[in-house]
Amino acid sequence: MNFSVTTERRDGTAVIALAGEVDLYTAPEFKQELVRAIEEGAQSVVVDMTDTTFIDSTTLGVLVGGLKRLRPSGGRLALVITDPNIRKVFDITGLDRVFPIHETRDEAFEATPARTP
Amino acid sequence: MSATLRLTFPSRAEYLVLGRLVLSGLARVYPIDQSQLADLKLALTEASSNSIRHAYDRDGAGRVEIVYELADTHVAIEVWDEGPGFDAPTEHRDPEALDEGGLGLAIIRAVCDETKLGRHPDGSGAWIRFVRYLDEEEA
Repeated sequence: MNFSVTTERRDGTAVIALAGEVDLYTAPEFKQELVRAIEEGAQSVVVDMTDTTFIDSTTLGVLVGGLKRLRPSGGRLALVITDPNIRKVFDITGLDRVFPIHETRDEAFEATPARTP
Repeated sequence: MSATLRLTFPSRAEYLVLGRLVLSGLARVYPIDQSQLADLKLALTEASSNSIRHAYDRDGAGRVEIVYELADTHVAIEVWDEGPGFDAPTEHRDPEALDEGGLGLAIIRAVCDETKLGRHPDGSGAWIRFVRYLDEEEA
């Protein structure tokens, strides 16, 4: 599957869907989208990796950077992951304790409400 | 059945996917299950990415060489490059970023059964070798 990143808004939450393989080559595009969503006022972010087929430490770096940008304003970043091989990357790095991980987009959205201004 | 394959590409991020595609092809021939394949792709990408990051410090010059050793019992992969290795600082590191080199090496060690780091015999570059055993129970 070719890499793609798309963003939609649900109330104050940005839902970023990542498809395909995310590595050193494609991660900058993901980062650009994540930073843009936060700068445009997203109070929380859900990154949907349902269609993501590969991630690595570069991807993790983008996610950590996004979380650092959100935290000062109390925003949150949650993940949707269905592939156990994708989940494993978070488990072995300990980042499963940093990012809430859900199995569906609806579940993530309900658990990651945008803060009321 | 055993084989040795070599892949060489320029130290540029757009070529990273080639290393993974070779593994996908080999998994059709050797008893590598999906979990093992995922781990090998991850380890290989981490090693290759480290090479390429350091290459950017040299204006993108250089190349990455991958050697795949395949047998029914294990897959061994070596990644050679012309850079300073996993432990060297990266000049253009994003201050917001993780220490991706350190995390990458930790990931490789977590998903592989053996990992070794070294230098080219002539001292001109870095080398990493990692091995994943293909346990029959896992395959």
